[in-house]
Amino acid sequence: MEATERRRPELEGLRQRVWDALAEVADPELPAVSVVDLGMVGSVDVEPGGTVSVRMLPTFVGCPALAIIEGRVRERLAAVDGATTVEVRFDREDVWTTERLRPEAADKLRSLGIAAPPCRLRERPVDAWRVACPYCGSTDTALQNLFGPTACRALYTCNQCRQPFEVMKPV
Amino acid sequence: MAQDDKAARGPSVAEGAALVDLLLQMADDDLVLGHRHSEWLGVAPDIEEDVAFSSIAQDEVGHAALYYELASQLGAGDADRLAFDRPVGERRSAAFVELENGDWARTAMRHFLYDAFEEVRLDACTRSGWQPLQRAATKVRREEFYHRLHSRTQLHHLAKAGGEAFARLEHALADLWPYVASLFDLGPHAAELRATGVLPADAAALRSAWEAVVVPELSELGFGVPACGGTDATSAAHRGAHHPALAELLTTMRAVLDVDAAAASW
Repeated sequence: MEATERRRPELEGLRQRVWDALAEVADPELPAVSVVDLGMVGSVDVEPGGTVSVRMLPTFVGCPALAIIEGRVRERLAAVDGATTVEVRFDREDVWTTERLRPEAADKLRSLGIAAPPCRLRERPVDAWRVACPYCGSTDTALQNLFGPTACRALYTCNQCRQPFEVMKPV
Repeated sequence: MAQDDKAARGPSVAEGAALVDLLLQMADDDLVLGHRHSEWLGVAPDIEEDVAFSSIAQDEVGHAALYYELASQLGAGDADRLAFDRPVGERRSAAFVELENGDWARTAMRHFLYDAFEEVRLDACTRSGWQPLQRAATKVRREEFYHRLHSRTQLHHLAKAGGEAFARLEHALADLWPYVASLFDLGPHAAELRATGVLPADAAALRSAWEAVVVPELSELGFGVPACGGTDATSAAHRGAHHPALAELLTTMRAVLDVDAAAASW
């Protein structure tokens, strides 16, 4: 984000439209949560003439949804007013962690029955995670499996409302 | 910073060859063991382990893809071709990961021993002077936290069950131990990798770091650990001395590709 670009209002407008468009692109496996909520957008660069370059961070290295997400981002950005050329690149060397999740991601995850990461990786032992049930809010919950339907989620049950649910694992 | 300058320049031709070999060792190990893990899909002893092994398999194959991609950027060719299209003779995986799964006990024991090895190798890579490897290792290391936790928990549960479970694990450990040395063969460029700071550790240091982690834990669980280093003088001690099971694994992996290799696209 070069300071010189920041002073150019027409580029600033385009940059904002790109961020707004990215906020509409959902993770196919977490349909309420956008790539912006997930902290997957590393940087957005806009150039005079309308060239837009987006650098994205993959979440889990082996996540099979990445190609779909990349396609959706490309497709959505192609429709942004003023964007003439769109470049989308996954930066596989940059380190995405769950600390990049935006605060609003927690509520959106909860609406899908998924609890947000309870802490940072290694902040506490897994058996000391304090996970609130996304359905009833009780923290009387129990880990069932560190692995779940996707690489990023673990399986829990709530001892209060007896509901099974998922938690996004800290990485 | 000197490291950044080096990253910007890129590796020299000789460093490039050494780096590609290291990346292919890491990629081939993860691809082959990831494939082995995936063989439990649908037939693991319980649903929790079925889910866990498919998830871990997916992670390992993903990590392999990342290393193939880095090798590709160094001119080693297309990443998918590196994964699918190299004959046995060009593979760099260790015989340790190529062995068939065997029973559930051998799967659990290999999972435990390999994940501890991976942690040690990745730790060295997180100190690499070649920034792309250093960053990739930092990222993969965070995901491996869960694999390691899973493999330790699984081994503890099975070992503490005693009886047949313990006996089978003991048998698996004796079976697997002679192949451990193949993991620590860092290849023909090992000295250069260390001298250039690409992999700031040698095989002996990695092995002793690994033993410091696994041997006390195995002993605590009641396993008699085979003499360290004493049983390694086998033909399986070198990468390149592939286990016969690798050829079959690659045939299975290539089954769709071999239907019409010319039409393959990714």
